[in-house]
Amino acid sequence: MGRELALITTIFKKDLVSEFRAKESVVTMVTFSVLILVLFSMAFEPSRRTVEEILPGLIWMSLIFSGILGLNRTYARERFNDCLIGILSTPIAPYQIYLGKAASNLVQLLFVEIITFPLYFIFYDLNLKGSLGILIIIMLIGSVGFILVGTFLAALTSNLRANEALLPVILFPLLMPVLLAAIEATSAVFTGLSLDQYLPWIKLILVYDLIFLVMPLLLFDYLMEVD
Amino acid sequence: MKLIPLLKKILFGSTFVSMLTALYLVFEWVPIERQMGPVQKIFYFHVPSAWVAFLAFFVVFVASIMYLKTKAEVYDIIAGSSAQVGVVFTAIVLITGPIWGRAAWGTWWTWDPRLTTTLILWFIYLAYLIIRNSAKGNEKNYRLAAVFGIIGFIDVPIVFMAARWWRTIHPVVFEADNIGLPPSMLITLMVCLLTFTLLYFVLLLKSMKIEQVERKIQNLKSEALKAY
Repeated sequence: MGRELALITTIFKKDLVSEFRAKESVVTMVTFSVLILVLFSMAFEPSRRTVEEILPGLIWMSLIFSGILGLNRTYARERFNDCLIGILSTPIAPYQIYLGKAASNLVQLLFVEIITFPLYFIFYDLNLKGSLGILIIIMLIGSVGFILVGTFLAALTSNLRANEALLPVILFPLLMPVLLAAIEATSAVFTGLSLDQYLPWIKLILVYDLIFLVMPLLLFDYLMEVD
Repeated sequence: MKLIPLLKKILFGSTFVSMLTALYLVFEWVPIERQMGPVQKIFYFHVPSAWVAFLAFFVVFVASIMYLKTKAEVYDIIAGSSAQVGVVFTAIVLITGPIWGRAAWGTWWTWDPRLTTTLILWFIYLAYLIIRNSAKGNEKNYRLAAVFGIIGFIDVPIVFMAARWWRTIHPVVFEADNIGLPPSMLITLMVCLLTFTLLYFVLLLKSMKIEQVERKIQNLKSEALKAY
């Protein structure tokens, strides 16, 4: 078990370090998600009363859109010099590569969230009626679901032609349940509903996270097989 | 070896006969529904199309698993062909539904769980076909399509669950109440279900045949190139 974890963290660290040095996706992701925020507020010009209704959807849409940018880089990074083949020939198993990369993508996405989240409160002059702790938990588990499916499907599309355009097309339909649940739960926290009114949504996100943790572990080998 | 062509002939023949019967039953025999009028007849095409679509996607799921397990080319061809047929029938469901809905409910579309799920289902398998199309001629990429065929199918029940909760928390505009069908309508529906199921297998076989011929031509081409 300790060895397993060490192998996973090797990939995790490698991805984070190379990202930290190149700073190619995180900077783009942050800028893009702030940009979406600004554009949306121009497009909808939310008044005080409507802001609580549209903001949860807006937050998640901007996260998903900027997250896609990072996901597309995950495996593109390994294409130079056949790096992926190199990694596969080490003792690290394919599912460990998957988990390491998912963890590194998650950290990058959370970084984007930490920067952009306060901006929502500033730009939209929002006062939160529910608890901040629960909101953070929802953001966290929702992001986990998105990253788990996203990292898996990014591996799938990285093998195909026109892969950067393809990823959102195949990812968004599968994301629908977790996205819907996260938006509903977030908006419930914003409007200050009691926890038992949106607990089903949180459970749904957790079930989704679990299913899409197990499925990639079963299937990831097939994506990495080299003929 | 003569058995398979014979079975195919029987399948095509019975589909033909059953299609004519179904058309007769729907347009001549079954009485016109009193409240909704002739538009209710869409029901006899809408429901069987939905059934065929789900059947087709289930076949994609099973064939994808079999393909990953055995690596036998035929399962990949079954999965791909079945997905094509499934997407066409889902499109029929999505087109006939609003036509009926406009007449019966007064609106083209509502975010009812079943409608939402069908729409997402259509997108998922469209994505599957896109993957498969950009995977042409490369065996590794057929594996990618199979993986997506499995993941996509697993996702469908969660989509339905999410859509149902979404609508129970929001006000429900239209309650899908179960009206007991009179016998004549039930018989017609059953014949239509049978017909569409037979039609599914006919289309599946045709689509598989096309795929097989395409691959054969590809192989011949690459062989000819090598010889050249």
